[in-house]
Amino acid sequence: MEKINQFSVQRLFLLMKRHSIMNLKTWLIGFGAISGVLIVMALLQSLGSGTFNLDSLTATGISFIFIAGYLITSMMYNEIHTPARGQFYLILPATTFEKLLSNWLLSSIVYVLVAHIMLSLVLLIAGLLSAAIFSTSLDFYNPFTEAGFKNMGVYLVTQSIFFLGALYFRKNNMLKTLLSIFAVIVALGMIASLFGWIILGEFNQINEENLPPQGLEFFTITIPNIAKYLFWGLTAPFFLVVSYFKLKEREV
Amino acid sequence: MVKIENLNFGYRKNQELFRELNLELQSGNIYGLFGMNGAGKTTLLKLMSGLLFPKTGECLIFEKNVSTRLPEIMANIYVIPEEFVLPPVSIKTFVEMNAPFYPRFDHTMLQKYLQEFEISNDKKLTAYSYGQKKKFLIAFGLATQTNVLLMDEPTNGLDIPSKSQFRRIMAAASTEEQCIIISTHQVRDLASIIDHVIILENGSIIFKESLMDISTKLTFGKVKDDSSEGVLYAEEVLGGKAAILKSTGHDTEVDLELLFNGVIKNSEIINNAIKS
Repeated sequence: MEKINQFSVQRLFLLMKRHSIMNLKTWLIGFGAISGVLIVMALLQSLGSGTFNLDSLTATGISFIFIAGYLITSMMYNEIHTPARGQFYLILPATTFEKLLSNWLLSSIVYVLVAHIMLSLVLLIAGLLSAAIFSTSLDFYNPFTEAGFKNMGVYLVTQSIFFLGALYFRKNNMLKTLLSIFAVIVALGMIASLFGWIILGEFNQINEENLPPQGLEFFTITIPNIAKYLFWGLTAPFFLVVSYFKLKEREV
Repeated sequence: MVKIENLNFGYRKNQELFRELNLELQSGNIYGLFGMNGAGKTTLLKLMSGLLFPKTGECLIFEKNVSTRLPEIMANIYVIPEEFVLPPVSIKTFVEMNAPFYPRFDHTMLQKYLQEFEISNDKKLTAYSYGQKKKFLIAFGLATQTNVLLMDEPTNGLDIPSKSQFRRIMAAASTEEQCIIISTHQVRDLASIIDHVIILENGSIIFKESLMDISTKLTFGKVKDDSSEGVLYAEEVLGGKAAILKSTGHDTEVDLELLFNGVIKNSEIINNAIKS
Protein backbone atom coordinates (compact mmCIF):
# COMPACT_ATOMS: atom_id res chain seq x y z
CA MET A 1 0.00 0.00 0.00
CA GLU A 2 2.89 2.37 0.80
CA LYS A 3 4.17 2.11 -2.78
CA ILE A 4 1.03 3.68 -4.20
CA ASN A 5 1.79 6.92 -2.30
CA GLN A 6 5.21 7.30 -3.92
CA PHE A 7 5.72 9.53 -6.95
CA SER A 8 4.34 7.84 -10.05
CA VAL A 9 5.37 8.86 -13.57
CA GLN A 10 2.35 7.00 -14.93
CA ARG A 11 -0.06 9.09 -12.83
CA LEU A 12 1.85 12.24 -13.77
CA PHE A 13 1.30 11.53 -17.48
CA LEU A 14 -2.31 10.58 -16.83
CA LEU A 15 -2.88 13.93 -15.11
CA MET A 16 -1.19 15.77 -17.98
CA LYS A 17 -3.29 13.84 -20.50
CA ARG A 18 -6.49 14.55 -18.54
CA HIS A 19 -5.76 18.28 -18.39
CA SER A 20 -4.75 18.43 -22.06
CA ILE A 21 -7.92 16.66 -23.23
CA MET A 22 -10.11 19.02 -21.22
CA ASN A 23 -8.37 22.18 -22.47
CA LEU A 24 -7.12 21.23 -25.93
CA LYS A 25 -9.92 23.07 -27.75
CA THR A 26 -9.18 26.38 -25.97
CA TRP A 27 -5.45 26.01 -26.58
CA LEU A 28 -5.92 25.25 -30.28
CA ILE A 29 -8.22 28.27 -30.73
CA GLY A 30 -5.61 30.46 -29.01
CA PHE A 31 -2.73 29.13 -31.12
CA GLY A 32 -4.85 29.48 -34.27
CA ALA A 33 -5.73 33.09 -33.49
CA ILE A 34 -2.12 34.07 -32.69
CA SER A 35 -0.83 32.29 -35.82
CA GLY A 36 -3.42 34.07 -37.96
CA VAL A 37 -2.53 37.48 -36.51
CA LEU A 38 1.21 36.88 -37.07
CA ILE A 39 0.71 35.76 -40.68
CA VAL A 40 -1.54 38.75 -41.47
CA MET A 41 1.00 41.09 -39.80
CA ALA A 42 3.84 39.57 -41.85
CA LEU A 43 1.93 39.96 -45.10
CA LEU A 44 0.89 43.55 -44.34
CA GLN A 45 4.49 44.38 -43.43
CA SER A 46 5.77 42.87 -46.65
CA LEU A 47 3.11 44.73 -48.60
CA GLY A 48 4.12 48.03 -47.02
CA SER A 49 7.90 47.76 -46.95
CA GLY A 50 8.57 45.12 -49.54
CA THR A 51 10.71 43.18 -47.06
CA PHE A 52 10.10 40.34 -44.65
CA ASN A 53 11.19 41.71 -41.26
CA LEU A 54 11.84 38.55 -39.26
CA ASP A 55 13.25 40.37 -36.18
CA SER A 56 10.15 42.50 -35.66
CA LEU A 57 7.82 39.54 -36.20
CA THR A 58 9.86 37.38 -33.82
CA ALA A 59 9.67 40.06 -31.13
CA THR A 60 5.88 40.28 -31.59
CA GLY A 61 5.57 36.48 -31.58
CA ILE A 62 7.59 36.16 -28.38
CA SER A 63 5.42 38.83 -26.73
CA PHE A 64 2.37 36.78 -27.75
CA ILE A 65 3.99 33.63 -26.33
CA PHE A 66 4.55 35.35 -22.99
CA ILE A 67 1.04 36.82 -22.79
CA ALA A 68 -0.68 33.60 -23.92
CA GLY A 69 1.50 31.60 -21.54
CA TYR A 70 0.54 33.76 -18.57
CA LEU A 71 -3.10 33.45 -19.63
CA ILE A 72 -2.90 29.65 -19.95
CA THR A 73 -1.07 29.43 -16.62
CA SER A 74 -3.70 31.60 -14.94
CA MET A 75 -6.36 29.20 -16.18
CA MET A 76 -4.57 26.01 -15.04
CA TYR A 77 -6.66 25.64 -11.89
CA ASN A 78 -10.02 26.92 -13.18
CA GLU A 79 -11.38 23.43 -12.53
CA ILE A 80 -10.91 23.59 -8.76
CA HIS A 81 -12.37 27.09 -8.48
CA THR A 82 -15.78 25.69 -9.48
CA PRO A 83 -16.90 23.36 -6.66
CA ALA A 84 -19.14 21.32 -9.00
CA ARG A 85 -16.07 20.51 -11.15
CA GLY A 86 -13.28 20.77 -8.61
CA GLN A 87 -14.50 17.90 -6.46
CA PHE A 88 -13.63 15.40 -9.22
CA TYR A 89 -10.09 16.79 -9.43
CA LEU A 90 -9.52 16.86 -5.69
CA ILE A 91 -10.64 13.25 -5.15
CA LEU A 92 -8.42 11.93 -7.95
CA PRO A 93 -6.03 9.37 -6.48
CA ALA A 94 -2.75 11.21 -7.13
CA THR A 95 -0.37 13.01 -4.80
CA THR A 96 -0.46 16.80 -4.45
CA PHE A 97 3.04 16.87 -5.90
CA GLU A 98 1.94 14.96 -9.00
CA LYS A 99 -1.07 17.27 -9.42
CA LEU A 100 1.15 20.33 -9.08
CA LEU A 101 3.95 19.04 -11.27
CA SER A 102 1.63 17.95 -14.08
CA ASN A 103 0.02 21.39 -14.35
CA TRP A 104 3.34 23.18 -13.97
CA LEU A 105 5.04 21.07 -16.65
CA LEU A 106 2.17 21.69 -19.07
CA SER A 107 2.11 25.45 -18.54
CA SER A 108 5.89 25.91 -18.40
CA ILE A 109 8.30 23.55 -20.14
CA VAL A 110 5.83 21.82 -22.47
CA TYR A 111 4.14 25.13 -23.31
CA VAL A 112 7.31 27.12 -23.91
CA LEU A 113 8.79 24.43 -26.17
CA VAL A 114 5.58 23.86 -28.15
CA ALA A 115 4.98 27.62 -28.43
CA HIS A 116 8.50 28.32 -29.75
CA ILE A 117 8.31 25.46 -32.26
CA MET A 118 4.88 26.72 -33.36
CA LEU A 119 6.26 30.26 -33.66
CA SER A 120 9.09 29.11 -35.90
CA LEU A 121 6.60 27.14 -38.04
CA VAL A 122 4.20 30.10 -38.30
CA LEU A 123 7.05 32.45 -39.19
CA LEU A 124 8.22 29.94 -41.79
CA ILE A 125 4.73 29.82 -43.32
CA ALA A 126 4.51 33.63 -43.18
CA GLY A 127 7.95 33.90 -44.80
CA LEU A 128 7.03 31.42 -47.54
CA LEU A 129 3.76 33.25 -48.25
CA SER A 130 5.52 36.60 -48.26
CA ALA A 131 8.21 35.26 -50.59
CA ALA A 132 5.61 33.76 -52.90
CA ILE A 133 3.36 36.83 -53.03
CA PHE A 134 5.77 39.76 -52.61
CA SER A 135 9.03 38.08 -53.66
CA THR A 136 10.70 38.95 -50.36
CA SER A 137 13.78 37.10 -49.18
CA LEU A 138 13.20 33.98 -47.07
CA ASP A 139 14.42 34.04 -43.48
CA PHE A 140 14.01 31.41 -40.73
CA TYR A 141 13.54 31.79 -36.99
CA ASN A 142 15.56 29.36 -34.89
CA PRO A 143 14.28 29.39 -31.28
CA PHE A 144 17.15 27.24 -30.02
CA THR A 145 19.74 29.98 -29.76
CA GLU A 146 21.23 31.64 -26.67
CA ALA A 147 18.72 34.49 -26.87
CA GLY A 148 15.88 32.03 -27.43
CA PHE A 149 16.86 29.98 -24.37
CA LYS A 150 17.15 33.16 -22.28
CA ASN A 151 13.62 34.13 -23.33
CA MET A 152 12.39 30.68 -22.35
CA GLY A 153 14.19 31.02 -19.01
CA VAL A 154 12.60 34.40 -18.29
CA TYR A 155 9.20 32.91 -19.14
CA LEU A 156 9.76 29.91 -16.84
CA VAL A 157 10.68 32.15 -13.91
CA THR A 158 7.93 34.75 -14.33
CA GLN A 159 5.31 32.10 -15.16
CA SER A 160 5.66 30.67 -11.64
CA ILE A 161 4.13 33.87 -10.23
CA PHE A 162 1.06 33.42 -12.43
CA PHE A 163 0.99 29.75 -11.42
CA LEU A 164 0.54 30.70 -7.79
CA GLY A 165 -2.00 33.34 -8.85
CA ALA A 166 -3.98 30.62 -10.64
CA LEU A 167 -4.27 28.70 -7.37
CA TYR A 168 -4.65 31.65 -5.04
CA PHE A 169 -7.27 33.73 -6.85
CA ARG A 170 -10.64 32.24 -7.71
CA LYS A 171 -11.70 34.69 -10.43
CA ASN A 172 -9.87 37.01 -12.86
CA ASN A 173 -6.63 35.28 -11.83
CA MET A 174 -4.40 36.92 -14.44
CA LEU A 175 -5.56 40.48 -13.74
CA LYS A 176 -5.32 39.97 -10.00
CA THR A 177 -1.82 38.49 -10.36
CA LEU A 178 -0.75 41.47 -12.50
CA LEU A 179 -2.20 43.85 -9.91
CA SER A 180 -0.36 42.01 -7.14
CA ILE A 181 2.93 42.17 -9.09
CA PHE A 182 2.40 45.89 -9.61
CA ALA A 183 1.65 46.41 -5.90
CA VAL A 184 4.76 44.46 -4.86
CA ILE A 185 6.96 46.39 -7.33
CA VAL A 186 5.61 49.73 -6.04
CA ALA A 187 6.15 48.62 -2.43
CA LEU A 188 9.70 47.38 -3.16
CA GLY A 189 10.43 50.60 -5.03
CA MET A 190 9.31 52.66 -2.07
CA ILE A 191 11.37 50.59 0.37
CA ALA A 192 14.43 50.85 -1.89
CA SER A 193 13.95 54.62 -2.19
CA LEU A 194 13.66 54.97 1.57
CA PHE A 195 16.71 52.76 2.09
CA GLY A 196 18.69 54.79 -0.47
CA TRP A 197 17.61 58.06 1.09
CA ILE A 198 18.68 56.90 4.55
CA ILE A 199 22.08 55.67 3.33
CA LEU A 200 22.87 58.33 0.78
CA GLY A 201 21.35 61.28 2.61
CA GLU A 202 21.19 64.37 0.49
CA PHE A 203 23.09 62.75 -2.39
CA ASN A 204 20.80 61.42 -5.05
CA GLN A 205 23.30 59.66 -7.27
CA ILE A 206 25.41 56.55 -6.85
CA ASN A 207 28.85 57.53 -8.10
CA GLU A 208 32.46 57.75 -6.93
CA GLU A 209 31.97 61.32 -5.67
CA ASN A 210 29.28 60.33 -3.18
CA LEU A 211 30.44 56.88 -2.09
CA PRO A 212 33.67 55.17 -1.01
CA PRO A 213 34.88 52.40 -3.42
CA GLN A 214 33.39 49.59 -1.25
CA GLY A 215 30.01 51.33 -1.16
CA LEU A 216 30.06 51.91 -4.89
CA GLU A 217 30.87 48.25 -5.49
CA PHE A 218 28.02 47.23 -3.18
CA PHE A 219 25.48 49.29 -5.11
CA THR A 220 26.70 48.67 -8.63
CA ILE A 221 27.89 45.06 -8.45
CA THR A 222 26.75 43.24 -5.30
CA ILE A 223 23.10 44.35 -5.30
CA PRO A 224 22.54 43.62 -9.03
CA ASN A 225 24.21 40.23 -8.53
CA ILE A 226 21.99 39.42 -5.55
CA ALA A 227 18.96 40.49 -7.59
CA LYS A 228 20.11 38.26 -10.46
CA TYR A 229 20.55 35.24 -8.17
CA LEU A 230 17.21 35.89 -6.49
CA PHE A 231 15.47 36.11 -9.87
CA TRP A 232 17.05 33.07 -11.51
CA GLY A 233 17.55 30.87 -8.47
CA LEU A 234 14.82 31.61 -5.98
CA THR A 235 11.76 33.10 -7.68
CA ALA A 236 10.39 29.98 -9.36
CA PRO A 237 11.17 27.55 -6.47
CA PHE A 238 9.60 29.96 -3.96
CA PHE A 239 6.35 30.39 -5.89
CA LEU A 240 6.14 26.67 -6.67
CA VAL A 241 6.62 25.67 -3.04
CA VAL A 242 3.91 28.14 -1.95
CA SER A 243 1.67 26.77 -4.74
CA TYR A 244 2.23 23.23 -3.45
CA PHE A 245 1.01 24.10 0.02
CA LYS A 246 -1.88 26.12 -1.41
CA LEU A 247 -3.00 23.09 -3.42
CA LYS A 248 -2.50 20.72 -0.50
CA GLU A 249 -4.74 22.74 1.79
CA ARG A 250 -7.34 23.33 -0.91
CA GLU A 251 -10.91 22.37 0.01
CA VAL A 252 -13.89 22.23 -2.28
CA MET B 1 -13.62 0.91 7.71
CA VAL B 2 -14.79 4.52 8.08
CA LYS B 3 -14.17 6.09 11.45
CA ILE B 4 -14.90 9.63 12.50
CA GLU B 5 -13.30 10.66 15.77
CA ASN B 6 -14.16 13.78 17.78
CA LEU B 7 -14.74 15.76 14.63
CA ASN B 8 -15.43 19.48 14.86
CA PHE B 9 -16.32 21.47 11.82
CA GLY B 10 -17.98 24.74 10.92
CA TYR B 11 -18.07 26.88 7.80
CA ARG B 12 -17.66 30.00 9.92
CA LYS B 13 -15.49 30.62 12.92
CA ASN B 14 -18.26 30.93 15.48
CA GLN B 15 -20.75 28.62 13.79
CA GLU B 16 -20.06 24.97 14.49
CA LEU B 17 -21.93 22.47 12.37
CA PHE B 18 -20.40 19.35 13.90
CA ARG B 19 -19.21 19.23 17.49
CA GLU B 20 -17.33 16.19 18.78
CA LEU B 21 -18.90 13.95 16.14
CA ASN B 22 -18.10 10.24 16.36
CA LEU B 23 -19.18 7.63 13.86
CA GLU B 24 -18.02 4.19 12.81
CA LEU B 25 -19.13 2.45 9.64
CA GLN B 26 -18.37 -1.13 8.65
CA SER B 27 -17.79 -2.74 5.28
CA GLY B 28 -20.49 -4.90 3.74
CA ASN B 29 -23.21 -2.39 4.59
CA ILE B 30 -25.27 0.20 2.77
CA TYR B 31 -25.96 3.12 5.07
CA GLY B 32 -28.82 5.52 4.47
CA LEU B 33 -27.85 8.95 5.74
CA PHE B 34 -31.02 10.93 6.33
CA GLY B 35 -31.64 14.41 7.58
CA MET B 36 -33.58 17.54 6.92
CA ASN B 37 -32.26 20.30 4.67
CA GLY B 38 -29.17 21.88 6.21
CA ALA B 39 -28.65 19.04 8.68
CA GLY B 40 -25.10 18.55 7.40
CA LYS B 41 -25.43 15.44 5.23
CA THR B 42 -23.49 16.80 2.24
CA THR B 43 -20.88 18.37 4.52
CA LEU B 44 -20.38 15.04 6.30
CA LEU B 45 -19.84 13.28 2.96
CA LYS B 46 -17.35 15.98 1.94
CA LEU B 47 -15.48 15.51 5.21
CA MET B 48 -15.45 11.75 4.67
CA SER B 49 -13.98 12.18 1.19
CA GLY B 50 -11.32 14.75 2.09
CA LEU B 51 -13.02 17.52 0.14
CA LEU B 52 -13.33 19.46 3.39
CA PHE B 53 -10.99 19.32 6.36
CA PRO B 54 -12.22 19.15 9.96
CA LYS B 55 -11.18 21.92 12.36
CA THR B 56 -10.21 19.30 14.90
CA GLY B 57 -10.65 15.55 15.06
CA GLU B 58 -10.25 13.28 12.09
CA CYS B 59 -11.93 11.09 9.57
CA LEU B 60 -10.15 7.79 9.05
CA ILE B 61 -10.54 5.33 6.22
CA PHE B 62 -8.70 2.06 6.83
CA GLU B 63 -7.07 3.85 9.80
CA LYS B 64 -5.62 6.54 7.48
CA ASN B 65 -6.54 10.20 7.80
CA VAL B 66 -8.53 11.10 4.70
CA SER B 67 -7.46 14.79 4.91
CA THR B 68 -4.02 13.79 3.65
CA ARG B 69 -5.68 12.80 0.35
CA LEU B 70 -2.97 10.21 -0.24
CA PRO B 71 -3.47 8.08 -3.37
CA GLU B 72 -3.86 4.88 -1.32
CA ILE B 73 -6.86 6.47 0.44
CA MET B 74 -8.36 8.25 -2.55
CA ALA B 75 -8.11 5.10 -4.70
CA ASN B 76 -10.55 3.61 -2.20
CA ILE B 77 -13.13 6.41 -2.25
CA TYR B 78 -15.48 7.59 -4.94
CA VAL B 79 -18.01 10.35 -4.51
CA ILE B 80 -21.16 10.83 -6.56
CA PRO B 81 -22.08 14.41 -5.73
CA GLU B 82 -25.52 15.96 -5.95
CA GLU B 83 -24.29 18.96 -7.90
CA PHE B 84 -21.68 18.42 -10.55
CA VAL B 85 -20.43 19.68 -13.88
CA LEU B 86 -19.06 17.11 -16.29
CA PRO B 87 -16.51 18.05 -18.95
CA PRO B 88 -17.57 18.34 -22.63
CA VAL B 89 -16.10 14.97 -23.58
CA SER B 90 -17.59 11.63 -24.62
CA ILE B 91 -18.13 8.81 -22.13
CA LYS B 92 -15.21 6.95 -23.72
CA THR B 93 -12.88 9.92 -23.22
CA PHE B 94 -14.11 10.53 -19.65
CA VAL B 95 -13.40 6.89 -18.83
CA GLU B 96 -9.96 7.06 -20.49
CA MET B 97 -9.17 10.20 -18.48
CA ASN B 98 -10.30 8.98 -15.06
CA ALA B 99 -10.56 5.18 -14.89
CA PRO B 100 -6.78 4.48 -14.87
CA PHE B 101 -6.53 6.23 -11.49
CA TYR B 102 -8.67 3.48 -9.93
CA PRO B 103 -6.73 0.18 -9.84
CA ARG B 104 -9.85 -2.02 -9.61
CA PHE B 105 -11.86 -0.21 -12.29
CA ASP B 106 -14.00 -2.72 -14.23
CA HIS B 107 -14.86 -1.68 -17.81
CA THR B 108 -17.21 -4.63 -18.32
CA MET B 109 -19.11 -3.64 -15.22
CA LEU B 110 -19.40 -0.07 -16.49
CA GLN B 111 -20.82 -1.22 -19.81
CA LYS B 112 -23.29 -3.46 -17.98
CA TYR B 113 -24.55 -0.63 -15.78
CA LEU B 114 -24.72 1.81 -18.70
CA GLN B 115 -26.79 -0.73 -20.59
CA GLU B 116 -29.04 -1.23 -17.60
CA PHE B 117 -29.48 2.53 -17.25
CA GLU B 118 -30.07 2.77 -21.01
CA ILE B 119 -27.26 5.29 -21.54
CA SER B 120 -25.87 5.34 -25.06
CA ASN B 121 -22.18 5.99 -25.70
CA ASP B 122 -22.56 8.29 -28.66
CA LYS B 123 -22.81 11.80 -27.23
CA LYS B 124 -20.72 14.27 -25.31
CA LEU B 125 -21.48 14.19 -21.59
CA THR B 126 -22.70 17.78 -21.70
CA ALA B 127 -25.41 16.77 -24.20
CA TYR B 128 -27.06 14.36 -21.74
CA SER B 129 -29.86 15.38 -19.38
CA TYR B 130 -29.14 15.85 -15.67
CA GLY B 131 -30.68 12.46 -14.88
CA GLN B 132 -28.64 10.71 -17.57
CA LYS B 133 -25.44 12.37 -16.34
CA LYS B 134 -26.26 11.22 -12.83
CA LYS B 135 -26.87 7.67 -14.02
CA PHE B 136 -23.53 7.74 -15.85
CA LEU B 137 -21.77 8.92 -12.68
CA ILE B 138 -23.46 6.19 -10.62
CA ALA B 139 -22.35 3.59 -13.18
CA PHE B 140 -18.81 5.01 -13.21
CA GLY B 141 -18.69 5.17 -9.40
CA LEU B 142 -19.78 1.56 -9.06
CA ALA B 143 -17.30 0.45 -11.73
CA THR B 144 -14.40 2.00 -9.77
CA GLN B 145 -15.04 -0.73 -7.17
CA THR B 146 -13.74 1.50 -4.42
CA ASN B 147 -14.23 0.29 -0.87
CA VAL B 148 -16.03 3.46 0.12
CA LEU B 149 -18.72 4.82 -2.16
CA LEU B 150 -20.39 8.07 -1.13
CA MET B 151 -23.59 9.07 -2.89
CA ASP B 152 -25.24 12.40 -2.31
CA GLU B 153 -28.92 12.42 -3.28
CA PRO B 154 -28.37 9.80 -6.01
CA THR B 155 -32.05 9.55 -6.92
CA ASN B 156 -32.56 13.31 -7.36
CA GLY B 157 -33.33 13.95 -11.00
CA LEU B 158 -33.99 10.30 -11.82
CA ASP B 159 -37.34 9.42 -13.37
CA ILE B 160 -39.48 6.60 -11.92
CA PRO B 161 -38.08 3.76 -14.10
CA SER B 162 -34.54 5.01 -13.42
CA LYS B 163 -35.15 4.90 -9.67
CA SER B 164 -36.16 1.24 -10.02
CA GLN B 165 -33.08 0.58 -12.17
CA PHE B 166 -30.96 2.30 -9.51
CA ARG B 167 -32.37 0.10 -6.74
CA ARG B 168 -31.83 -3.03 -8.85
CA ILE B 169 -28.25 -2.09 -9.67
CA MET B 170 -27.41 -1.14 -6.09
CA ALA B 171 -28.85 -4.36 -4.71
CA ALA B 172 -26.71 -6.37 -7.13
CA ALA B 173 -23.55 -4.26 -7.05
CA SER B 174 -22.71 -3.92 -3.38
CA THR B 175 -20.10 -6.32 -2.07
CA GLU B 176 -18.88 -7.45 1.34
CA GLU B 177 -15.75 -5.32 0.91
CA GLN B 178 -17.70 -2.15 0.25
CA CYS B 179 -19.17 0.45 2.52
CA ILE B 180 -21.78 2.51 0.70
CA ILE B 181 -23.19 5.66 2.22
CA ILE B 182 -26.21 7.17 0.54
CA SER B 183 -27.31 10.58 1.69
CA THR B 184 -30.84 11.58 0.85
CA HIS B 185 -34.02 13.14 2.11
CA GLN B 186 -36.06 10.98 -0.26
CA VAL B 187 -36.23 8.09 2.18
CA ARG B 188 -38.80 6.05 0.24
CA ASP B 189 -36.43 5.68 -2.73
CA LEU B 190 -33.95 3.71 -0.66
CA ALA B 191 -36.12 1.61 1.59
CA SER B 192 -35.30 -1.65 -0.17
CA ILE B 193 -31.55 -1.23 -0.51
CA ILE B 194 -30.16 0.14 2.73
CA ASP B 195 -29.43 -1.98 5.74
CA HIS B 196 -28.53 0.75 8.25
CA VAL B 197 -30.18 4.05 9.05
CA ILE B 198 -28.28 7.12 10.20
CA ILE B 199 -30.25 10.27 11.00
CA LEU B 200 -28.51 13.56 11.27
CA GLU B 201 -29.97 16.67 12.86
CA ASN B 202 -28.26 19.99 13.51
CA GLY B 203 -24.86 18.43 13.03
CA SER B 204 -25.43 15.53 15.43
CA ILE B 205 -26.15 11.90 14.76
CA ILE B 206 -29.38 11.36 16.63
CA PHE B 207 -30.07 7.83 15.37
CA LYS B 208 -27.92 4.99 14.05
CA GLU B 209 -29.35 1.52 13.88
CA SER B 210 -29.48 -1.46 11.56
CA LEU B 211 -32.74 -2.16 9.78
CA MET B 212 -32.73 -5.60 11.40
CA ASP B 213 -32.69 -4.10 14.90
CA ILE B 214 -35.33 -1.58 13.92
CA SER B 215 -37.64 -4.25 12.56
CA THR B 216 -37.05 -6.46 15.60
CA LYS B 217 -37.59 -3.77 18.21
CA LEU B 218 -40.24 -1.66 16.54
CA THR B 219 -43.51 -2.33 14.82
CA PHE B 220 -44.95 -0.14 12.11
CA GLY B 221 -48.68 -0.14 11.76
CA LYS B 222 -51.91 1.78 11.99
CA VAL B 223 -53.69 2.84 15.16
CA LYS B 224 -56.95 4.63 15.84
CA ASP B 225 -55.45 7.18 18.22
CA ASP B 226 -51.97 7.89 19.50
CA SER B 227 -52.90 7.22 23.11
CA SER B 228 -53.10 3.49 22.34
CA GLU B 229 -50.71 1.29 24.27
CA GLY B 230 -47.15 1.06 23.02
CA VAL B 231 -47.37 3.95 20.59
CA LEU B 232 -44.02 5.72 20.35
CA TYR B 233 -44.96 8.05 17.56
CA ALA B 234 -48.02 8.51 15.37
CA GLU B 235 -49.03 10.77 12.53
CA GLU B 236 -52.23 11.38 10.61
CA VAL B 237 -52.59 9.43 7.39
CA LEU B 238 -55.55 8.64 5.21
CA GLY B 239 -57.89 6.39 7.18
CA GLY B 240 -56.29 6.64 10.62
CA LYS B 241 -52.89 7.11 12.14
CA ALA B 242 -49.61 5.54 11.06
CA ALA B 243 -47.66 4.64 14.16
CA ILE B 244 -44.35 3.36 15.43
CA LEU B 245 -45.00 0.98 18.26
CA LYS B 246 -42.92 -1.07 20.61
CA SER B 247 -42.38 -4.46 19.07
CA THR B 248 -45.46 -6.61 19.12
CA GLY B 249 -43.51 -9.68 18.15
CA HIS B 250 -44.62 -9.53 14.55
CA ASP B 251 -42.15 -8.55 11.87
CA THR B 252 -43.40 -5.54 9.92
CA GLU B 253 -41.85 -3.70 7.06
CA VAL B 254 -39.92 -0.64 8.25
CA ASP B 255 -41.63 2.55 7.17
CA LEU B 256 -38.53 4.74 6.76
CA GLU B 257 -40.49 7.95 6.35
CA LEU B 258 -42.45 7.32 9.52
CA LEU B 259 -39.29 6.31 11.36
CA PHE B 260 -37.54 9.47 10.18
CA ASN B 261 -40.42 11.67 11.30
CA GLY B 262 -40.59 9.86 14.64
CA VAL B 263 -36.87 10.22 15.27
CA ILE B 264 -36.88 13.89 14.32
CA LYS B 265 -39.86 14.48 16.62
CA ASN B 266 -38.43 12.59 19.60
CA SER B 267 -35.27 10.60 19.06
CA GLU B 268 -34.94 9.69 22.73
CA ILE B 269 -38.17 7.65 22.84
CA ILE B 270 -37.33 5.74 19.66
CA ASN B 271 -33.70 5.14 20.68
CA ASN B 272 -34.76 3.93 24.14
CA ALA B 273 -37.30 1.56 22.61
CA ILE B 274 -34.61 0.01 20.42
CA LYS B 275 -32.01 -0.20 23.18
CA SER B 276 -34.43 -1.74 25.69
